[in-house]
Amino acid sequence: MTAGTTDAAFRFHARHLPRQLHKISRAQIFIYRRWENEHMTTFRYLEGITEADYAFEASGKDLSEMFTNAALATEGLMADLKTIKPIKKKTLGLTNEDVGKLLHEFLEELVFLKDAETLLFSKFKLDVKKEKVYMLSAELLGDNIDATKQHLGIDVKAITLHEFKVEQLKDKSWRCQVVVDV
Amino acid sequence: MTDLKKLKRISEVLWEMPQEGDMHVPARFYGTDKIMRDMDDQVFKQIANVACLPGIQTAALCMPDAHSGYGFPIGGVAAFDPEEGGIISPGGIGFDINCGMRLLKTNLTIKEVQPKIKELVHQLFLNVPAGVGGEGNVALTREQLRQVSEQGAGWCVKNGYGWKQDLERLEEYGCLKDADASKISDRAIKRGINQLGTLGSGNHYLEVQFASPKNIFDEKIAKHFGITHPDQILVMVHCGSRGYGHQICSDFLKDFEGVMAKYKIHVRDRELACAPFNSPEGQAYHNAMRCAANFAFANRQVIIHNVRSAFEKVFSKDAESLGLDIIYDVAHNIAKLEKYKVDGKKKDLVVHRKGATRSFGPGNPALAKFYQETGQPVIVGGSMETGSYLLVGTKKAEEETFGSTMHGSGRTMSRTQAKQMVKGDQLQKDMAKKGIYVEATSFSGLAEEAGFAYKDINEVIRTMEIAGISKPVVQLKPIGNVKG
Repeated sequence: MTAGTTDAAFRFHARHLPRQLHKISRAQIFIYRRWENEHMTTFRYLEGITEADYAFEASGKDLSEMFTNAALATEGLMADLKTIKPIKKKTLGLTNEDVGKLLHEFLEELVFLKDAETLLFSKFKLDVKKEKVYMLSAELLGDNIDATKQHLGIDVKAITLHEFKVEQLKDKSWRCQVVVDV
Repeated sequence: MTDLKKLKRISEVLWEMPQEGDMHVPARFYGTDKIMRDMDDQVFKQIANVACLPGIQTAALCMPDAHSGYGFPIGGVAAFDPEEGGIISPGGIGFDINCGMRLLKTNLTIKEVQPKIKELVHQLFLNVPAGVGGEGNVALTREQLRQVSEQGAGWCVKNGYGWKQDLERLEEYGCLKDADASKISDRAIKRGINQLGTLGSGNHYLEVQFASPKNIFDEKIAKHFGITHPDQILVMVHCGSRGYGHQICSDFLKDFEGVMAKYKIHVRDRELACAPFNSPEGQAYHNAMRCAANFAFANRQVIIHNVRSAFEKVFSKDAESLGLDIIYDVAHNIAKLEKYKVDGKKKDLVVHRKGATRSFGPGNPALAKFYQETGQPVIVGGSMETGSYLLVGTKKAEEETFGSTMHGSGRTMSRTQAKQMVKGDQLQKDMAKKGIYVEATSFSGLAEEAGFAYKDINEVIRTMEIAGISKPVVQLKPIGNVKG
């Protein structure tokens, strides 16, 4: 298990783990890592970047997966993802010449919808691709904020530009680092 | 652990990082040996970045509660001269524009309140919406939101949320003049329109506190503020401008990133994006920022109106006879135009306070008559376990720190670490054993705010007392808390 994950992220992550992970061996770690790489459903909250706020890292084999994981990391701070029923749908289309700016804009949209429409999301069907510019089309599934139904966390005020990074790795996968103000 | 040898010690509690490289001025830090040794390394880097911004005057300052932020450190103060290309920076104010503190007194004592504390905290929890995306109980039209943005707490009093005399007891009388709501984006309006009167989450809280006689350090001033009898109950509110202010900051950070090249400004951190104060962009942000500040003054005004209602319900008396008067309201995330003498010359400076409180001394013309002899009240919120302080500002603060002081105790541990050390429900039980009853919208959020995640507030206060920047009046201990 990645160090520094929050309860919500841990539970989300744990759902996807092989059953026998607790009897862990080097071979199983290797298998798990391979499994993790294939599924890419992880994100982790980072230590050492900010004390008052939260920083996270999210990755994916392609942009759609990385954007999805970054969205889950953002929503996972505001509520336990398992408690947000995917019963309300929003669609979204964004374009930007810069992939970092597109990610920033997308995450800001989640923060906007949390306040303007009191919506939190737990499932994302995303398609992010590059044509002339970077294009995102998204289907967001979630529910209205309700403390009696959801285990709420902390309010995300903004997606900051502090230490904000988006990069493509040698194996063509994508990784981002985001600091959110809470 | 910080290597203090790199700093020059100016006095017992004042340290200086010499000007080097691109820095226009040195950086100065307030702290005892312990505070300085424990200071987060990032703070030194971030305040040095601030010292590189155009038009900065005298020194970039760090208060003793400083900890790392983004762009400016939290607890950072910097003043810029518009006549020397001085800038205004959203990152020097923070996303939560006019996040601040308000303190309310009562005529009740702990003996009267303790038996009803659960009922009281629960009523406060019901009356004051808190937590992620909390919606308020004041339904505003767009036109009313514009009025709130331009009139601040005055709009609330006009519309029945408070008493006329409340306004005299607020920094800037609860309204920054010349706010211009035409500068506000549609997104900010949509984020803020339903949130007036809400607490938010994170380190925001509403706390029932008491002033024990042994914790009163200046009886005369305490009495002047209405703290007159032993173990008197007070109520402290910590919150800001909610989604409205957060969006205004986000909007202008983006705009400023795009205009810095035009003004040949280079910053070391994207969160330091800024524009010359006297540029059209700088003025637009200044006007919009003042709208958010006014929203925050109004937000705290509606909250204390609802606090008064909660007390009326629980104690079956009207708020007037319960003596629910405001002691003061301070902004600790703000930029303001203030006059200071720099090298013998009087200048109008744009003073940025990010996690820092104004600390004006006696006789300052900006203060209402009621505070002319005492200096302004400085409200410093501690962690929900350790207690808070009421202090007063001094003339020395006006001479040395652009009239600024600390705002809280300052974090010393990350939120993730805090949650690994304690579970929220356990913390709630532990606090109950200590006589502090808490209701929270989120257990994980509660754990993040555990007392051990913060610096020792007494050490922070002691620093500014030794420095002569602010003078303690009373320490307040919690007995009940509503946590967003």
